[in-house]
Amino acid sequence: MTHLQRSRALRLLCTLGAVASLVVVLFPVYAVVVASFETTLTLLGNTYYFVPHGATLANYQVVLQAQAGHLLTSLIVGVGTAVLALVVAVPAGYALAKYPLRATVVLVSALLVAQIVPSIVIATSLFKVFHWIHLLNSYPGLILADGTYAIPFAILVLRAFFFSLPNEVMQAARVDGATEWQTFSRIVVPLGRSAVITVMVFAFLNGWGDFIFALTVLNGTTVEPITLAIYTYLGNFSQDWGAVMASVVFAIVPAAVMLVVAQRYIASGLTAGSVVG
Amino acid sequence: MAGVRAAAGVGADAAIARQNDELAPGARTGRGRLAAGRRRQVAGWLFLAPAILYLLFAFALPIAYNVMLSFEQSSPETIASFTAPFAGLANYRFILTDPTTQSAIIHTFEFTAGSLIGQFIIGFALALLFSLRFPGRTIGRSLIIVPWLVPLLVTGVIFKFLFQLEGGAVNQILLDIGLAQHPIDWLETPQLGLLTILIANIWLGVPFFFLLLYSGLQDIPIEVKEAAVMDGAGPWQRLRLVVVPIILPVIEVTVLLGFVFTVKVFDLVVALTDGGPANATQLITTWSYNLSFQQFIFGEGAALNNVLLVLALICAPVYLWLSRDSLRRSTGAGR
Amino acid sequence: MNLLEKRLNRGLAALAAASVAIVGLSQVSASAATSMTLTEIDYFSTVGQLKALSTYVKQFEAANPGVKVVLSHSPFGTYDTKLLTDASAHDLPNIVMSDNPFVPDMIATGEILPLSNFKGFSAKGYFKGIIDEGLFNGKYYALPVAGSNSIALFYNIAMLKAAHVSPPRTWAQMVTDAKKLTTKSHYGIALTAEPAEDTTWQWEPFLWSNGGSLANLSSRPAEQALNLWVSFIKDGSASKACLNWSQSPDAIDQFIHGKAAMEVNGPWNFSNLNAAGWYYGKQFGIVPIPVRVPGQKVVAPLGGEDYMVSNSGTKAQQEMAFKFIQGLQKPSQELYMAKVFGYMPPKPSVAKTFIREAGPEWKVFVNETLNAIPRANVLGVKYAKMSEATWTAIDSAIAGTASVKSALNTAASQIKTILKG
Repeated sequence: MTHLQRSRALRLLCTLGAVASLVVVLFPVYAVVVASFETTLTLLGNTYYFVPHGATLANYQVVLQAQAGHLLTSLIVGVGTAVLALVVAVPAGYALAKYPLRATVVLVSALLVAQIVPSIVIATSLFKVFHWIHLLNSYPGLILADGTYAIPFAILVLRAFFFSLPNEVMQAARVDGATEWQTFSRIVVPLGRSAVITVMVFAFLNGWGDFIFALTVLNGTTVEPITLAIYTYLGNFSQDWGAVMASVVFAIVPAAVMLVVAQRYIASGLTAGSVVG
Repeated sequence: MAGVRAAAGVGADAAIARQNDELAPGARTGRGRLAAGRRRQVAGWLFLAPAILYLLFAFALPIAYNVMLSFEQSSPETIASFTAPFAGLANYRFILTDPTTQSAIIHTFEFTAGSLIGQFIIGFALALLFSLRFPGRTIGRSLIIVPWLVPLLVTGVIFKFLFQLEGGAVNQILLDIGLAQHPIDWLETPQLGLLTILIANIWLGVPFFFLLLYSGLQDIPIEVKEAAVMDGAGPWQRLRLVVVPIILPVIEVTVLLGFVFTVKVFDLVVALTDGGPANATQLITTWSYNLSFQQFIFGEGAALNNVLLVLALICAPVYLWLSRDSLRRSTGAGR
Repeated sequence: MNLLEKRLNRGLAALAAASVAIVGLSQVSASAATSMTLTEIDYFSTVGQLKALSTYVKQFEAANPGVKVVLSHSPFGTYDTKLLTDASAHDLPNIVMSDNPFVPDMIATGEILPLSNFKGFSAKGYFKGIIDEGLFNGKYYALPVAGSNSIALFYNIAMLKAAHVSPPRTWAQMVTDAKKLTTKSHYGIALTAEPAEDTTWQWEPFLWSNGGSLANLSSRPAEQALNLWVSFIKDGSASKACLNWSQSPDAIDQFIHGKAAMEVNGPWNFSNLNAAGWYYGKQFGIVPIPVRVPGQKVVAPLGGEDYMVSNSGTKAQQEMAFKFIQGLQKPSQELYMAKVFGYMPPKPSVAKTFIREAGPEWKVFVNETLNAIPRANVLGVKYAKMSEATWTAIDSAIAGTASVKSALNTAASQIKTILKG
């Protein structure tokens, strides 16, 4: 074998390895899509079919009727979480990066630790606290709770980004007579656009995918996001896998959209999570 | 991928940070600037105010209240009231003696250790694979993060479907290739139930490990790799002696964060086994939920929460230490 | 990339705007024509149950212009928990349905109003066991939704014929029949073993008919009864997947879809069976639940649900909620509900008519229901906890976490503590 042939064979081997691992990684998603087109009878049978077997759209009809409202709820919660994260995190990230405050070290440490706190700990207490201040079963309550996933992360990512802004930019604005707020809102935020988008994408996905707070601070009648609805539906009709899988397809649509539209923000956010600061 | 670089660069830029401190406007003195400095202090605090309020409300208050709850004797009758009678250490005594709680704690350790090992090995292997040049690597790389984007509850539902006793895809594959004679009762047997949630969790965690380790590998200077090749080091030696030491900081952070994520896992298990059969797959998180929200004994649930919190916070000092340079960088521009 | 960002920004902004607009719209449309909305919750799932309720709601809304009743159905397995959570949040629906053994727990939350306070309430004319389900400290809190029921053994006529077996009368026959009835495509029997009340309820007739009781689970009769269930699993004549199955709809769906030849269940399934083209005497038959040895008397639990009025909402809403429940207690309505639900009417006078008109599929159920034993009447709030200990023992034994004996001993000691406290 010549050197060229060997490297070509090696490359082929790599491609094969990559394809094999992708098959394993992506099979569950593929299975969901296939199942969403199967009839209940097929899915209840003892045989699993790897390709669609008697395709039907019935599941989607069921789901569009039953789950459309829940999808909208999740959309509101996701957008709400993204907005909350921005309102709280953008100014805070900026202040922690660019203002010489004594509390910075303490606050950044607190944010790092906050990321570690398990949600169930927060959920148990928030249930009682929300009960007390009448925030159970409400969008504001759920969004405030979902913010616990997104906000510490968002502040740290934005802080890391704002470090990279040259101080001269802000100084120039101040020399021109801009107030601190004007400097922030007209100069800093537009410059930080890509970090802001990363944070928004993550916060949206956090709010969209949340289940633990939906389970604890909602009782599923007034406000019921798609994750909770799927869980309830599965409890009610655990044999109706077709409809469950069609709901699942809808529940992962935003993730798929984000993957196509905002891939680079997701990748940078994922890795930024490890340095956070 | 700006952040990617950063992953490998934990602690790389402390020196620059210190330099920049001197350039930071706030550090200057001068009469006219003093008022400006104070104004900036005020502005800084105002920018921080929403975040501080939020942290107090959504983290400090729940944690403090959780500690209080753990010393209360609660029951279905006290759900509606904000406080309940003092219970002393009774709830902690419950944690120490209740068999299901004990097994939930043990399962959490097994689950966490198993997940980290599985995620690390697979994630690292994939990271090494995708560091090589071959056709299709770009698209493959972006597809690998798909599992991470699926909501955790949904992952649980999907795996419940795949691991069904009858008509489940996994059993069908095993039967087809002759690895099993009868369908395997994955979700109906205690040990296999635990294994199934482990497999599902590895699936969803691999992208995170992959992406971080992959970006770490990209930051190894080409000269270093070339030098190792010239020294005649084989692939295994190169990996052990050159690659791993260089990306060790990344590995540390990744494993640490992986630990934090895994200890918290809840949605996945609730959807997949709901702690069953017969509480055999309860983890600390799901059992705490069960105590508080299904048996309505919030005191016992809160006590178990505190055990979980202590367990998770064990890594806090390590985490802070790994992030020490970023912490020190209190003012001025970084990169 | 700039373009992408812009597109993304615009997209998210549009999403936000759209969701705000839709929320606004839905709020406006909700408040347009109705002057009062009543909320309800139940766990009903069969064709008959859903049809009967929605028909009644339509009649009720027509008779009370401006009133809108919103029904909601929640899964059985998590239903009791959900009610307690709602109660703790002071956010129960106006009209609350509860399984009869859980009524004492609901009253204990303090969120349920005594019905005796409302004008027109009467506790007269009911079977004692049924009206007493809502009796607490001398006050009545609950009225039946559609009456009562019990369970018996359904079997698939064609499958039994194919396997040359006759319906079992004893446990030994049940075990051998189930084995013979198991083929590659279906099991001999479908069990219910989800971690919830329906599992205890399904097991109780085996326990009770054999002379056992929940108060003493570390006893021979209890051990024999649980051994029977576990032997179905060990023989491979029942699927272990039953650990996730509710009685309705999961276990009965296994039967309807031809995946199990026998299944213990109740008459509320007639509507679903008929809708799937299954008729008594043609596709399915019913026999009383088998007993361990011939001569033992079948003792089955009394089933059925009650409606209660919660203290949520205004006084006017509470009164309207009571009116809704009261409307179900008219003899003609009771007869209609019982027929469509597949229940026995709650009053002896109405039950008489019902029995006269009932089809042959009711033969076994009439007898079993009239003699059925209420689960919680003496035990009150303790029943729910005892039941949980019991179903946990059943699940541990089926899953193989513990042996039958040690699972029952664990439950017995838990129940001892519950009864003491």
